[in-house]
Amino acid sequence: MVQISRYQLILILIWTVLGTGIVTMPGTIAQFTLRDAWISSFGLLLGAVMCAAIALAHVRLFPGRTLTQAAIDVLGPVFGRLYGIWYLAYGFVTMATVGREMSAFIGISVLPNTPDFLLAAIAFAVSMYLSYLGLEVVARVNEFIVPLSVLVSPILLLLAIRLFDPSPFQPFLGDPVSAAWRAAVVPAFAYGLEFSIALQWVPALRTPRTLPWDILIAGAICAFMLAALVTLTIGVLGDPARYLNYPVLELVRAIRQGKFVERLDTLYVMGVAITLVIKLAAFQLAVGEAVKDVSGSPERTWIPVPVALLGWSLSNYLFRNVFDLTNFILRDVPSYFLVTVVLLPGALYAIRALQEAKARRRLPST
Amino acid sequence: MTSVWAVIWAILGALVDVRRWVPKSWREWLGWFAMTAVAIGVAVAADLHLWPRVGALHLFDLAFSGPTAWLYGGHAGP
Repeated sequence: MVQISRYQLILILIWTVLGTGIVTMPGTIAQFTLRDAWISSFGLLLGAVMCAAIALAHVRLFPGRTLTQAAIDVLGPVFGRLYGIWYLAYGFVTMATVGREMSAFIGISVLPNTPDFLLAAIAFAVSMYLSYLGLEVVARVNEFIVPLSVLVSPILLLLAIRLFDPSPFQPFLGDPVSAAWRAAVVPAFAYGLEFSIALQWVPALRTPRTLPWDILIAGAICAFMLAALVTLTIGVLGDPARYLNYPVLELVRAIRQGKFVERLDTLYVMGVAITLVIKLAAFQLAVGEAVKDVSGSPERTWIPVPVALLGWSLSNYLFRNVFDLTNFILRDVPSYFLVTVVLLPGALYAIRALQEAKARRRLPST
Repeated sequence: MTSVWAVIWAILGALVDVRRWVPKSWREWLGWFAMTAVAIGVAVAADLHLWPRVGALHLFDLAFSGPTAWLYGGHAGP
């Protein structure tokens, strides 16, 4: 199996979380607080810490195994596969959410006359081919877009800084702590817990033992990038940021330098589209591994087509509009992800630790 | 000229080589049919606007909105 390096893993994790993060999170944070929005962005670190703890237990107890393989090892073929099906449901729902976020965003921002299902079909087809080529190829695509984003993002940010006004943040930390916490729930429990998909890639990691650290590094980078973006967005847009679905898009649209530098939102939308396709591919790879484990198949080349087809169908069916989507992310996703990728795997590792302790106690007596 | 066509056919063959995309064992076929059948069913339901009164999102809401409200500290939303 072709394996990926730590650097490649960190890059995949960053784009997996920030892919939809930069589109959705500033808006959801601003709904709860403006003054403390910058500090709420660091909720992402809390999610990364939880995922790192789970990853630490995983790589110690199940080196070289995926999460779904670990479930089958611990719970046996029947109950282990039931957990696998639960994980598949999580993967498909997440893919559907990402796909719908993408089709809604592209539809609203640049292609208002194109049906959303067609936009989603193109995104799912591209990501399907990426996932068919494998994790290493997805990692290389990530490496390819990093220089582009390193070049373009600072220019966009620097051009926007001229419009920055600190008054929305005054008085400093002026909102109650509860408002900052509520704003941090989505970054922490919805997006921060997406780092856990790396558990499905453990056999493809060159150094699985460093996975917890890699998650923490990716989490810290994402949190700082999000905090900078949220601060800039609220500083430029002010109070209206509360009522916008895509405040970062409006921030980029506000940039204007003379007569020649304007409408940079096309650059931003292209960047977001690339990162969203990579995020979809990353989730398809994780779901593909789960399908492989649940079906007991040694091959994975047959998996991308049905996985992409089902993800696309669900993205069109589950969320009829942006309201459905935002409501789902705000009201259901935090505890759904907490149960699926923290509490249930935590219970698995506790059972395995008990099994190992029992086996150790039996050994001296035999 | 022949070599150009050979390259084009090689690329197309690598992309649409059906033998690599189809399942082989009965378990793989079962998984393939299960996912494809659900995908087609869901696509047809979306096309015919068949959304049941208690849909998937309602079930998610029933199961997870309570615990999420607890995470928010007792507030369900902004």
